[in-house]
Amino acid sequence: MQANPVIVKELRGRMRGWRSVAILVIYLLILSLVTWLTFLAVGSYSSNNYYGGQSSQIGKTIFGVLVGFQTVMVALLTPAFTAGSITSEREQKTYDLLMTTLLPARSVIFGKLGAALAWVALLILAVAPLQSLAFMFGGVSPEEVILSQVVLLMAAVLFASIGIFWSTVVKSSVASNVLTYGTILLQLLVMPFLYFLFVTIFNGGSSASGTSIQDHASFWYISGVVLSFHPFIAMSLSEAFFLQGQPLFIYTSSEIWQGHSLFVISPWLIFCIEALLVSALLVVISIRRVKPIHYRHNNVAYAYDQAVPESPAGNLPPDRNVSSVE
Amino acid sequence: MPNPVVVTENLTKRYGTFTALSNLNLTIERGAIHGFIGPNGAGKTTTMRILATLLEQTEGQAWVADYPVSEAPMEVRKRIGYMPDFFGVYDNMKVWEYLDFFASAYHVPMDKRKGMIGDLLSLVDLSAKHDSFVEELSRGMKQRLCLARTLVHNPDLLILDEPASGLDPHARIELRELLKELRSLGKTILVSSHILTELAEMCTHIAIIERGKLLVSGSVADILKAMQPARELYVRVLSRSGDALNIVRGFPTVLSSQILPANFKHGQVVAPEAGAEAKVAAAGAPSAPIAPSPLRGPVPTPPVTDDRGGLSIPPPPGAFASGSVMPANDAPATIYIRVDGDNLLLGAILARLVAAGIPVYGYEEALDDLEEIFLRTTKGLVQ
Repeated sequence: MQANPVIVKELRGRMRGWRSVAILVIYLLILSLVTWLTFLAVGSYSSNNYYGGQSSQIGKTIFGVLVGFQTVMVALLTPAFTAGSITSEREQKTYDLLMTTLLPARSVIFGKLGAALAWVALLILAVAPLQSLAFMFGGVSPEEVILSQVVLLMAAVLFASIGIFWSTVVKSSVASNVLTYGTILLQLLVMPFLYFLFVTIFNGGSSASGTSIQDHASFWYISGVVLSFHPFIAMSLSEAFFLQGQPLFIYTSSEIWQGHSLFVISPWLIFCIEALLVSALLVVISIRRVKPIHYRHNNVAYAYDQAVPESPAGNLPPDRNVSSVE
Repeated sequence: MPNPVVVTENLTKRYGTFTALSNLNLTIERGAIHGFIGPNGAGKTTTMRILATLLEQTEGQAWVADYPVSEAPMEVRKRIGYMPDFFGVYDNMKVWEYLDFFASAYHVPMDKRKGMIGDLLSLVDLSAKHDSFVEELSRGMKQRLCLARTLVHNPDLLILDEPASGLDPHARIELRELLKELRSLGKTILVSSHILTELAEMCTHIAIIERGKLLVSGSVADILKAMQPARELYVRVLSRSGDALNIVRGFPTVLSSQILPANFKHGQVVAPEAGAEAKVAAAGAPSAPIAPSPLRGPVPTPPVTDDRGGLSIPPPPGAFASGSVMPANDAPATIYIRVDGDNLLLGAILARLVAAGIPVYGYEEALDDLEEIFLRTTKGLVQ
């Protein structure tokens, strides 16, 4: 079995030359600078104020800031690797060449996605030495680190899928980039804003019966689904619950909705499930859009991704009617 | 006869109300270089894209190597190498990486790729560029590289859409020779081009398409024969042109014949040079003006030039204008003969002339070229 040729091609092109090294170096320099400034700020604050467990507080802050910066970087960099993946093939007139090979559409999409994610995974893993500083200061558990990295990776999958999707929808890379960043902006800024706006408006005054929307269990469940779709909010909430001593995955809590028992799936897990589902949907649509021919006959749809008949369809001139595949 | 590589049956493609291709019935024989000729928008690229599994037809069906294109596209792709009219290359790859990528995309086993890439680069004369980046290649080299790409999986059929567009004359000649070599290797080639002389040089078959309709298709020889029912010959004699004319006219299948004026050059009567003796031979006077061929139309056709370095063949003379200088009976002359017959008859005419002691020193048959066929076929259709 051979590696996906598209991944090999993409990585070969991406890792060649100084650009990839430069991006990695600049990325690490920025995060190192942020870590150092965080250390100075927290250290100075702690020395002037009494703080129980000063070292662990420095560790926790560095960890939190690093994860926050990584989330922003992943949101900014991942789409750049995928938003032009299919449009660039069209723009440089290589799309038809690719489509006439034996590569199925899914190999092209997964190849593009895989190459982008491999590069983003490198960016995430490259921060490990800086993350280890947090361990050195203490206050951060291995579970927290693993959880944050999983959420980051899932965020990268989601952002990459959004980029791939738009690159199969529009013709130009510029339009694809604009739409991709617009979609991510919608997810990261507009959706939480609308949520808080909605809650403020409908929670401001109680209804005639004297109840507010917060008195309904559905509000808490919908809030969980909506807010958890934001990776940073999901991580923050998960961290808060974790520090309260709650389990990492699923539990029942009576603290969120005062006096009432709620079945809780940890926000980071909700985010991962949501990201996975949305990404899968976008990838499936992208694969369908990349196929050059969409058959109108269901009975011949096998031909693309499955085995085709070993023998020719018949002697010439064959029957023009599409033979049914039982 | 081996099965044809391509067969289309009532192939139709519509974009909304616009019909790009209308009931195309095309057959491409194995081992042929099939020229696909037509003006812009005629439907050439649409046909090629359907055969390349990039476009689905609205009606009809196409088969490549007996596989229906829309039902078994993967089988079709294994058997075709497609080169679009506008193609790109991955500039940031090396030449061997480019071919290696496509070889792996065609599932060529890894252990065979290295040798195959070397062979292909040698075939397209790019061995020296094995480790160069694609962006460093000239346009002609990129074209050849793209042609090599179409061969990585050893397909039966090459579909080349305007492969020579944008190339300089030298690169065009190289490409033409390369296609001939590929044919000798057993490949069937469907090639479109606007440059008809180029196609005429290499094609064994042609198909002329216009406004989505196939006007004519078949072997070049058959089409020439069909288009030119009467054969036109030019016999050059050192002397006794009058006697030769009388012998020729003795054949009942000779439709018309005449001695060409001595100053008939390049399809027209030219002014005699100063001081030259103009001898008008009574015996050589045209017996009857030749009516312009209905296929050619009233406008005198430009002279046909033999690209292989042969004689320049004048077109049929028609009625000569005043000032024609007819050669004397004892002077070298050219006799024009229009005859309805086969090669045996032509041989018999020549044999009779030689047997009668006529000093024949040259003989040539005027054949239409692709350009004339194209113009005649699309007459009234091409805007």
